[in-house]
Amino acid sequence: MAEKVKKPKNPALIAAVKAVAVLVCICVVCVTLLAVCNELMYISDDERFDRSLSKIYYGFEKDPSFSTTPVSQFASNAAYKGQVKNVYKGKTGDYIIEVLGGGGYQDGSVTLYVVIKADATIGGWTVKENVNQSYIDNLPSNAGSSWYVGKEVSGDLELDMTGATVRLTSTAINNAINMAAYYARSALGLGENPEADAQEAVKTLLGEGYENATFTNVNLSTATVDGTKSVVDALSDEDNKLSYLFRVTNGNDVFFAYVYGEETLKMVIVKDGEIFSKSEGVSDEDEFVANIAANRIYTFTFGNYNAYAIITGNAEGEYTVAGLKVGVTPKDYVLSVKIEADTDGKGKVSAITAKSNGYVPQGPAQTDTDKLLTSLVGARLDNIESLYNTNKVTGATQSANLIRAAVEAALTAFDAANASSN
Amino acid sequence: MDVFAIIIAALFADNFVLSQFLGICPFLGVSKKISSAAGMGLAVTAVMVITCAVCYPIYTFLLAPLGLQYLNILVFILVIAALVQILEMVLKRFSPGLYSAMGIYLPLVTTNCAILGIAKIVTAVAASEAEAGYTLDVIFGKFVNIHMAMGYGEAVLSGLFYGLGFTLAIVLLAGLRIKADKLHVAKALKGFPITMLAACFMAMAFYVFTLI
Amino acid sequence: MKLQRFKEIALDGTVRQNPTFRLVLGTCPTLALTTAAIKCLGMGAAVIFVLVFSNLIISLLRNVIPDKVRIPCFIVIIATFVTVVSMFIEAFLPSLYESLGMYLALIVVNCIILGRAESFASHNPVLDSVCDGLFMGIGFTLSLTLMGIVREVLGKGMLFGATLWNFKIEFFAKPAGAFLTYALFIAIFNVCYNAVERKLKHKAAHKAAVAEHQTESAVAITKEA
Repeated sequence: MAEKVKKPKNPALIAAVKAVAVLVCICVVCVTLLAVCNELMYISDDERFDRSLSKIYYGFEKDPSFSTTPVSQFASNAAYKGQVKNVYKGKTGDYIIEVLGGGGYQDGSVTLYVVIKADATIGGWTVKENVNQSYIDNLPSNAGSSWYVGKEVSGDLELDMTGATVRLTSTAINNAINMAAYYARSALGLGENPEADAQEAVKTLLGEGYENATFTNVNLSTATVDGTKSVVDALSDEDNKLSYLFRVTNGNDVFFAYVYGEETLKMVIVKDGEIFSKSEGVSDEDEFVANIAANRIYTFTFGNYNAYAIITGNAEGEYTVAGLKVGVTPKDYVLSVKIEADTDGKGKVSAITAKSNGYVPQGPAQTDTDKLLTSLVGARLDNIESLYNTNKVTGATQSANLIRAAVEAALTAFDAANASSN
Repeated sequence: MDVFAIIIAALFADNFVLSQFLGICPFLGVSKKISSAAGMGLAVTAVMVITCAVCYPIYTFLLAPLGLQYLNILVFILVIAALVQILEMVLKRFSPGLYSAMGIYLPLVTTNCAILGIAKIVTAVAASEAEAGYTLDVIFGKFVNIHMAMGYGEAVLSGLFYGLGFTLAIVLLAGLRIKADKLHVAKALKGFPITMLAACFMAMAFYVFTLI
Repeated sequence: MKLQRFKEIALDGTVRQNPTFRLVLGTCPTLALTTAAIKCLGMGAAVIFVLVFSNLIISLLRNVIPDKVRIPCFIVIIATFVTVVSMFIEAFLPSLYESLGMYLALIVVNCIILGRAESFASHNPVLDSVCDGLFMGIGFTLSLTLMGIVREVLGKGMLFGATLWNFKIEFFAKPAGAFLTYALFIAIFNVCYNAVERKLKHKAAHKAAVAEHQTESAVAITKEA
């Protein structure tokens, strides 16, 4: 009979087990306590929103029937590198716009809550978050509450941040405030709205059948075409500064409407590269009319958005083309594309240089987009798509598409010019 | 995020000791000799890097998806304590030279607020991406240079350079203290007060970097 | 608990072992938060809460917790109370939460708390430990607030957030000013403390001497008689 030998207990092992058991017990009790506390003192997203706002607007009550998603047509604007993220309407008719403005320090952005009062003035703003604005805390918080307050949202607002020592962050804030003001006058119908007035005038000029035409503002880039000259400058002259460029469509026809002048509106409407209609007071001799006729604008559709390419110069086959994108993140390219006639007389790209590189600095794929510039050399209208498809850039699709649009526009222009001369 | 920006911020403008006041206890306590200061700095840097490398994934992939963010302090401090123990054992076993240089300072590192601080910073910045409506300023109050979205690599890099910033400050202070010991100072100022005065002058010099 | 012991603990916590000026512990929040006096009060209240409760629990469990895992156990208990207090402040005092920032979470690694747990609560009875936590916390709060008042008045021309005058020396609101103020406070506190200590000793010695003299003369009188 095998007698069961009683093993001597190992005191060290018992001590270790006891130690672990006590530690685990304490942990379990503590975690349970914390879970209960968390349940009791949980802060909801709504409450966090109220807290962020309480600094600038006391007692904001949301109008629950108002959709917080911004109207997509006005939700972004390249001029301010801005984007409206959410819009809240209060029961008193005031609005709060959560808006992003770009162009700050290290090309970063700020996101603000901006209060737009029912009387179309700015009621206050506070910074919600920021990207790369390292010195945003240098903004004195008490002075910040008075900047921009009481200004009307009718037009572009000038930088109003006296004493702010953070120049680039101030630029981003100014952009965000202007984006909010732009949204307030375009989508919320607050204040005067020169853009809407211009659209009305274009509709009147087009006449019957265009009452419900849809307008897209081709946000003209401030990217430089030549030295200090911007795309807007290239399409303007001394007396006539381009205010808006709209793409107008009623579903069948597509027009581009150039709107000039500040006091009295001058309009030139272009269709397929030909002048379709002009407003009164615009004579054929005007330099800018000639400019428009020469600077053809092309539309390209890539996925969900339109890109535009404007040819702003042509010197013996060397085209200056600005690729502009209408969409969320504005990235504009100005390229100089040199084109020579191939053996069959069709255009072939012989050199591409970037005059203004719209790619976000230090972006991960900039070297790749730069590579695309060289790989499109030798492209013709009939092979650009396959060339693009083999060399396209993942991670910077939109920039790559803008480059392609600009090159394609130059090739189209070259072929059209050659066909007419033959 | 720009790596260069992290480096400048971590070493100078946002120096943990001289502008954020994290890790002051070892800064004042272990800075009598340059060798001990360097050992402490090394230990803090090593633990910071490991902490960032471990706490970041724990928070992002475990706590945040489960909605247990409120346990972060508890989890981080336990993880740090465990990591310090493991690091000490590993060093003792495999690298006696390194152990003799920084090993004795390791137990002190567990309760160093710089370590918990860096864990909170890298995870809170990561979390701000996920938690809509959460104001970063609320999390940080005053951390000026790190309001940015961080990836894993940036988190670990921050750990490394904030640790090196700490090392820089503590070694410089040790140098100053050796000089200060030779001075005749009023009896009341001996010990902590004179050390803090030295730190005061260093803080003035480092402050200049925030003005760039 | 005897009154004498209570007095002893109270005097230790607030003066003789004042955590900020005598022991120079918990320096991080002291330097960082003394820019405004109100922050100091908030921080002090949070620290008192954590100290009292962690001392209470640790003292209760002092015979249960094995020696080997005592530090992790202390840390878990402290971290729990810190989380509770930070949840409470976030929920009910959002502006204070914002101004304290991450220093609230860093109470966990404040040397005062772990130090008291290790050196006092883990081998003293419950009531003593609670008192010790309370008075250590009060000592910390008082010193912090005092420094906060000085730095706020000098650096911002304000007191508890109310503007006093336009004159301000911004240096005191900056990091370097924090080090300077702290250094001067420690020096002044030590000078005063030593002076009072010497006086008390002197008094005691004098008392003893007088008593001795009286007995001597009494003896002499009896002899004469």
